[in-house]
Amino acid sequence: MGEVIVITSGKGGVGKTTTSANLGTGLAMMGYKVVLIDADIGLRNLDLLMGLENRIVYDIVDVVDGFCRVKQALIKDKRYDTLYLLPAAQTKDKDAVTAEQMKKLCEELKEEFDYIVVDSPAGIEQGFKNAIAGADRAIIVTTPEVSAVRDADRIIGLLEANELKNPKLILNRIRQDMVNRGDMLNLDDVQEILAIDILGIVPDDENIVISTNKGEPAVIEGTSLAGKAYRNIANRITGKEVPLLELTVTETFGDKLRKFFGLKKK
Amino acid sequence: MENDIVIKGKKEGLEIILNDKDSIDVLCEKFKNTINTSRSFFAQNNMFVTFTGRNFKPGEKKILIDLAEKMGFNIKYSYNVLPDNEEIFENNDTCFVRKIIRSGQSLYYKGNIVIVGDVNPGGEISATGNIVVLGTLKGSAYAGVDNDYNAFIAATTLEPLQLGIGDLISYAPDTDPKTKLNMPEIALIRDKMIVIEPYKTLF
Repeated sequence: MGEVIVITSGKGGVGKTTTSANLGTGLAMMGYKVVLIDADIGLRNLDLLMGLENRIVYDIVDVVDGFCRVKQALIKDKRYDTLYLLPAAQTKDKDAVTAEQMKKLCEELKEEFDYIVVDSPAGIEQGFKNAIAGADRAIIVTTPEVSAVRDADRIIGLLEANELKNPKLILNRIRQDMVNRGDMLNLDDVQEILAIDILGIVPDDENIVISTNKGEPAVIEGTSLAGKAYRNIANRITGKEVPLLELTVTETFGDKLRKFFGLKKK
Repeated sequence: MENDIVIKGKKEGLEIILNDKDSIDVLCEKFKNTINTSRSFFAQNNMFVTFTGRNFKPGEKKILIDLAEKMGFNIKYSYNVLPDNEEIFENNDTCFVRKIIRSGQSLYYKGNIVIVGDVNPGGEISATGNIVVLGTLKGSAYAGVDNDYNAFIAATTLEPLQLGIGDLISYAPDTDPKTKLNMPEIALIRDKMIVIEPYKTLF
């Protein structure tokens, strides 16, 4: 029996889809059977990040409306045999699926897969309610900005009201140089407000932009720091204990020189 | 006038679903009709009520609660997300809540409120009596909402967006208070103004 994990945030643009793609791929890399569900109907993106947009024939709305079987709509990943994607519809809107239908779909997929990762849309309306309907646990993605943290707080409250207790937090797009200067919220600041368990931290990394455009999740590539962060998070989801990523700033020669003479960096 | 207020009975209490479009006057009229037509629903006193479907402006919820009271029904709590039984306790005139009040959540209680936890920015608590937060108060708190100017608001860490006592409301200064005292503080009314004092000077 599998587990349904919803990735949500409230605010848009904090990295829900990127996180879904990377965690799904990361779990598949460990050999688990994984299906990614794109619940962002009308604004489908997850297929792009996975580089699978050219393979879409049927989508989630076709499945819940009974136009096709689930198996027909599932797209097999081109890199990992145990990874599948159930794409969103692009021509419909969020009301095309109901919470009941979503629940039934998740139950069905649980029979066959180890992990079902649901990419939730931004907002707190019907699309969000659908995405969390069948979920067993929730992962909240936020960035170190007050607006994203405020929305995450609202989402935690709404999840509580929907019987999804103990969500886990991913703090995305941290820029350690800004944190060190005191210009960005750090992990402690965010946890002080949200008071939920941390699942992982992900640095702001330009490799993410590159991998998004290439349609190849960063988690696959061995070198990027963000990819490593996502590999750690995927490990933690399966119950392994992995220490939090150590984020350090590389000092330039000028910085070192300034430090040597006791000058503060501007 | 079509009456589109829906009442659902749940095990934790009543859920009253309102619409977001009507003005408060129209809503009051509808609410009055609803109470009259479904008196059996409102049978018990000290009800736990949650209002959903409407983004309340300050004071609107209070108008509805007062209206219900005028018609003989005593709404004691209102909460926009019904809490678990193990998270809320009642003792005489005081309601103890053991959870974090998060952004978008609100709690009204006829009496005193003690929160064992934080009130996050965007969260809102109001009480006819006093409010004590054993934790950080970063949201909004309104005490003595029945125009009780003797009410107070105390918190381990008092950094609210807005404070109200009686019908007075004050908001946080726009500048970052660098001189923030690291101790419990209490807000009360002195000379018709809300003032914040360190807790220890009371003794």
